[in-house]
Amino acid sequence: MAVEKYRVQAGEQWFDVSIEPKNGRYAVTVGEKTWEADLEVFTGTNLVSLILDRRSLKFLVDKDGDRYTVLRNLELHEVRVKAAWAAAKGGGTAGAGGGDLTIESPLVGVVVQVRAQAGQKVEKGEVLCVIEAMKMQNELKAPRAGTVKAVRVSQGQKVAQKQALLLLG
Amino acid sequence: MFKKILIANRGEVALRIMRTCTDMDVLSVAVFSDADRKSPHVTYADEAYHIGPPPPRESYLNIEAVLRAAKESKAEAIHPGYGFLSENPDFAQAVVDAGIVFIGPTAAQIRAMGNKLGARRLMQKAGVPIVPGATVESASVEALKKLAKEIGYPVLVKPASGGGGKGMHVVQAEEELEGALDIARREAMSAFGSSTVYLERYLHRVRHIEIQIARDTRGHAIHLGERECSVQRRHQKIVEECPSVAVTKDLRARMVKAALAAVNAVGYNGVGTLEFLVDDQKNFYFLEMNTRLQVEHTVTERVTGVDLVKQQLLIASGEELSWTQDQIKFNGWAVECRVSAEDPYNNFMPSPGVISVLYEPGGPGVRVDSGVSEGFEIPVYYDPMIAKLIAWGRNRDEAIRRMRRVLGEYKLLGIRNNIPFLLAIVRHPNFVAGDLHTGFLDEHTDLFQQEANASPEYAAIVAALLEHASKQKPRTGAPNGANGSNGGGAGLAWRSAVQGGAWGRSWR
Repeated sequence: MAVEKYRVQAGEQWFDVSIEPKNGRYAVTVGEKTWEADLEVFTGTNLVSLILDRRSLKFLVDKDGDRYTVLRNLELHEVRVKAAWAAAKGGGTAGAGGGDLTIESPLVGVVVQVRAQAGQKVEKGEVLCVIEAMKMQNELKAPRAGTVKAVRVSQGQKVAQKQALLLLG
Repeated sequence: MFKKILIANRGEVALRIMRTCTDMDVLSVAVFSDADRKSPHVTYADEAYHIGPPPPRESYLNIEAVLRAAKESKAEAIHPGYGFLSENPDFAQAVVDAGIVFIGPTAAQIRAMGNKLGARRLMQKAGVPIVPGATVESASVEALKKLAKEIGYPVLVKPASGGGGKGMHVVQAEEELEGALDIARREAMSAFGSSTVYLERYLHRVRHIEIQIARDTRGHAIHLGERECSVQRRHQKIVEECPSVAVTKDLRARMVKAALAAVNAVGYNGVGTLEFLVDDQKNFYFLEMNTRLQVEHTVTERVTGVDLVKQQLLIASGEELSWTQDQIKFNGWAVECRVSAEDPYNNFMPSPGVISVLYEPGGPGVRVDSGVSEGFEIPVYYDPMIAKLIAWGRNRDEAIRRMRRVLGEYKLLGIRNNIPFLLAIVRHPNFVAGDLHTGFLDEHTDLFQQEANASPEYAAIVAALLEHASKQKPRTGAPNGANGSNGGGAGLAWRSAVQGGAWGRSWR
């Protein structure tokens, strides 16, 4: 089988991962390094065992579409995986390498305030909107600097978890 | 003893009370809102009754609905837990009027001690030192400014019938006073139905130390030592311990004497807690009394071996406490951490949602009081606390080390949680040294900084391999994508807790 290439975002870092099936396992290459990799999901659980060469690593993994939440020891990683060809075309909402970013509501609630307008430049940490839930007003801050490309909600609107609120360019 | 009681609460405290019921061969009745149908307290209970829609006012605070469930289930008594109706004297009275026993003090005792101002006056009469302060029900702004000046800035504006740290505001200088009073009155009105607030001197670098007491209807009163709860965020306790490094034998004797004098003076029936602030000169000041079981009662139970819920049931059924003061021995040290569904690195944003993966800690010296299970959706309507982790050791050092292990063993996916924040606290040199005061978290802002992940490369590899495997043999009829389904494939057997809404794990 051919080599498949993936563009992977883990936290704020990007990795190019090549995967090639080999002897019932995989040859995995990241940058200059290549490992022989074997992957196994413990049946009926979210526990994943990965052997890189001879080293065994264990993870707890949750999956939602192309988004993975990976817990290893005490580290929680938010990971997105795109096929390299799709990433190159800029497909998907995340785009490739620092493209547009959809700001989603982290919780079910009501939009009590929209502070950012389309076209507005924002700094990292600037409050974009305020959502009320669990009787608390929660400020939603820009995860990075950028320009607000679109605002998809208005004041007083009920929002679902993961509903798109704004598009940050 | 009762044959059957109803627990008018939800989550971890409801479950904790039911466990004692089972220990005592008392049947337990759960109540639940629409949001809690699959909640572990419902699956655990011997019986369960639906009491309304998710908003607390329509279910867990709905006295009529709770009483109806008690009558239908023929429960002889009602345990209110903490929060919700636990310190509402009208509820305590309505329960009694319905011919049911209220597991707690009388309505009159709740009124006397639950109201902060009434309690302050009672304490003063019993000779207990109180934090300097004054009522400000109907005074003019000028009169208030004069009062605040007498008390001395900074002052704390507090609701008279409050609790849980809500509606409290620190005022640094005179020009902030009027605005803070307005806000506090409005908040007090909406949260507690009374706009009465009072002023109290805001004490710096003091410890929050409380005394646990129990007094039965025969007038037999005991104390169970102290707990320290100085690690607080916005007046909410986060880490608690029993005993306290700051309490000497002499200080304990003085605090306990004051606490017992106070409860004897009002003829209190039940378990309760007297909260104090303690300064570095070992002076203590009465803060307030909680006329109910407290969240952090577990550390006292771990160190003394006393089941406080059992004592509550005994007192309410007119029996004697099962312990005399001489029998109470304090063994070792216990620490509790409150796990909450909040993102500590995003301004403690609540994080409701489905718990997709949950591994709870175990092993020697560990207690887990949890209100959630895998597959359970944490509702947006209630408190974000989901579990309490308690670690015991022969001494404080051993307890803290064990707590680090416990926090490391607790694995949770699907929602954000404060485990990394709790770990940072119990690793902090000042915490380890016992150098605590109520401003501990405000002073150590480094605790709010997220540590960078050391090995994102491994996470990237494991996610890429899983994505690769899932793309090779897509599951028929359940394509990946749109609805975020867990696409299994290539021999990867994913458990679909998220999409399937799996039932909560039941313990019985």
